[in-house]
Amino acid sequence: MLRYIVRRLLQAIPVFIGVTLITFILFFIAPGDPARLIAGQRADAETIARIRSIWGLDKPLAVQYLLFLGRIIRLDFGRSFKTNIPVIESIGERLQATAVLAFFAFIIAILLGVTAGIISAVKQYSFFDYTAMVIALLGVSAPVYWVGIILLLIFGFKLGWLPLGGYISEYGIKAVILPAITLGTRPAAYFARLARSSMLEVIRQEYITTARAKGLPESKVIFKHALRNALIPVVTYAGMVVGDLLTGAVLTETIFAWPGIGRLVVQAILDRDLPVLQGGVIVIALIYILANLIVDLSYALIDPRIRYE
Amino acid sequence: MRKVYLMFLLVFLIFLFAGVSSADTPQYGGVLRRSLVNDPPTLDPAMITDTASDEVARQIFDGLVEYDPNGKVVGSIAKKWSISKDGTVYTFYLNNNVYFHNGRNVTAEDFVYSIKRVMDPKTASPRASFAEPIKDVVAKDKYTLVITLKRPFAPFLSTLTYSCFWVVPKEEVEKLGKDFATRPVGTGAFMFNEWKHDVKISLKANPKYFRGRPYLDGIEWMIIPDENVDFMNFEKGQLDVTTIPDPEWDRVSNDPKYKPYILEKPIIGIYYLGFNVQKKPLDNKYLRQAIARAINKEAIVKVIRRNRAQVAYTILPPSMPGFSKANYDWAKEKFSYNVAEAKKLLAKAGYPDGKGLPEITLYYNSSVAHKRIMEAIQADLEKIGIKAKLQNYDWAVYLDLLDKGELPVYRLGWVADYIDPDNFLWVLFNSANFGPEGNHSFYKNDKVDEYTNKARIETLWSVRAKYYEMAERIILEDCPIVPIYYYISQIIYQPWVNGLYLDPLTGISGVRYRVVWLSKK
Repeated sequence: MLRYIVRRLLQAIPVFIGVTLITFILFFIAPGDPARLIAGQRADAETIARIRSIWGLDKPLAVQYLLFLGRIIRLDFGRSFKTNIPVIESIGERLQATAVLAFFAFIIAILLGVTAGIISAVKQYSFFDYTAMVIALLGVSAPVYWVGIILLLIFGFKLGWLPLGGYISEYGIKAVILPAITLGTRPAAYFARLARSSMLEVIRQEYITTARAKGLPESKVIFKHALRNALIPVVTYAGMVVGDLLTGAVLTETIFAWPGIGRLVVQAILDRDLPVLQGGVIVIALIYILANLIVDLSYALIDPRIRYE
Repeated sequence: MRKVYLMFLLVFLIFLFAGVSSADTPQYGGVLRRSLVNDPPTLDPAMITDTASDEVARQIFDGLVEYDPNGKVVGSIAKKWSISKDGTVYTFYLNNNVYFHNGRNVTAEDFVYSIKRVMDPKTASPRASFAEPIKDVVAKDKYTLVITLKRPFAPFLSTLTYSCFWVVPKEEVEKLGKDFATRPVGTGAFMFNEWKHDVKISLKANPKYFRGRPYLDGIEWMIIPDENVDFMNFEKGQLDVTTIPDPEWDRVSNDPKYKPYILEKPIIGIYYLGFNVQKKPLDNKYLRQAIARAINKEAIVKVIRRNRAQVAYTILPPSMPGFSKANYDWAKEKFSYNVAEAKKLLAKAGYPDGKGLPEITLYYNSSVAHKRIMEAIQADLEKIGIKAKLQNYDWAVYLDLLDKGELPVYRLGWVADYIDPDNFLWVLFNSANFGPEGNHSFYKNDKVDEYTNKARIETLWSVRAKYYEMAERIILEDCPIVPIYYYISQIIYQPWVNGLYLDPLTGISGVRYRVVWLSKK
């Protein structure tokens, strides 16, 4: 098991290098000079050249890339072109905020989605089933931006129960409720549909019929025999949801003024702020790798037939 | 008995006046709540180029001079100044009771340091060019500062109001290094308090401010990226002052609850359509004039901007000194919306009904607001037979392409850095400023060069104004840009906010909150 984890983590190194290289090259292919942007709408050529040289943007591409890799090894992501704040500091703060948001969104998605999906499957073609599936369809189709604004309008503005955006440091745990629901809606809807179809497939299998034939109570049949197997595709999808949460986070963070990494990275792209962009991309890649690792490991817990050698 | 009556009368009068004064005379206390769309990139005066940073830093720092709410240069840390006859030596006499937030007295040496810091290539200040006219800066004595210029430069005093010339304490700048930008120490009415990135920035009152403690206990800016959410916050009373999103304008401006609390002021800036006059087919003056005449500016302002701007004909906005009514009337006569005249001009250009003219591209930087306006222009051009398509880019890319002269037709805006026609006519149209320095039309006219150069070194205002009037007339005739509208700044505030005004240059972001007070805490 330990060897497997180490091996997986070592595999991440080439992924990292690939990710950094691609971001780096794309950055230089894309037009738009960061020095020009720092200088503002009006600037003389001398000033722009000076800014470029201070940030080392006048060095050849390969040299810049090697310098960058050298810094990464020392865990130094440099400073933002735009704000001069150490990238590691910015990312640290923002990552924490996104993690909190993603965590709650994930919990909401799993609890709501999986429960609704299972009940729908067990009570197939019932009123609950239809309602849940219509809601799930809406949840998949509704744009994150729209959901967020509507929730804010109802619960923040009209009813005044929750703050109109803002972070935990200002409003406490109340601040996380609406953004987490906004972000969790889409994955919840997917989970519901996935759990339903997976459960339906499982309960039609022979061993379930056998279990029922043995006279086991229905609750035992569902929870002990069916659920475990039905959850495998759900767990696989859970790993992918991390990506969904991160991309959805960009919009959610903008609506709810949430100081997360999504906003940071998008702003870095607009500002052509390479150090922040690089740092952000590396961190996000790392999250993906970890999420997939956790998914792979959790298979073993659910399905005892899987062993890691 | 009479004495008792008198006593009653006196007590009554005291209460009466006390009542009046509580409504009209400023009160101390309370925190003003504002919002910003983005985290300000920097609070270091030498590095500021954007309005968010400017709004916050303006409360923390002071310079030698500043603008009053009417746009007149008045003393700040400098209590008075004198200018030598030849216009090259400026002597400033400083107030001796100004202190940095760390408690140290401000002297002329601090200005020497601060200005030289902007000039120093190692600082890489994006505003180093503002200090270009300066030859030397020395402290004559503890509170007397002498700035010598390389040559007379008439707008110099105005440029000194700019953020890069605000005074900074050497010891803090050197101690904090790059972190000075996030933990600024200045002399202003408010001191830096706390900054949670992407969440909020707060300042607190400086009790030892040299012009007296500000009324407010502090200012808090929440970072709210979405304008709809921002306005919801205002309507809930969570923000004291904010701007109104375009789609909300009609509702809000017609609501008696809000109407008395909207402030409007023209700011010194124009929104325009520019041409690269060196690129075919826009090197053809008549084609440019035809386009100018084909654009229905009134409709754009009324329908798209909902009258939140003023139709422009000249380059200098009416609130800029040097604005010429004669030029305005002339340009209005010659270039107001007229399809028949536009068609004639197009024929004169050699493209009758647009025949033989290739499709042109209207470039703009990504934003829904710009897109709507570009679509209107596209439709207007269609009416005289010019086929146009739209293309947009992010700001970073857009600036780059503009600098390189790769956009033949583009939209742009220009808001004054300092209140002087030089900042419009010289910056945008002098051939010394091709590309990034401001002349994105790559426009060159010897007369315009001559007039704008002469006006820079001339010290007599009446002569300067004449030069600018002549230069502007030539530019308008040549049509390197089509002025669309002059900007108007609008904000809305809560009934309990008092003393608020809009800055003539930048509207809300130029306000100094030291004069603002709250009647509710």
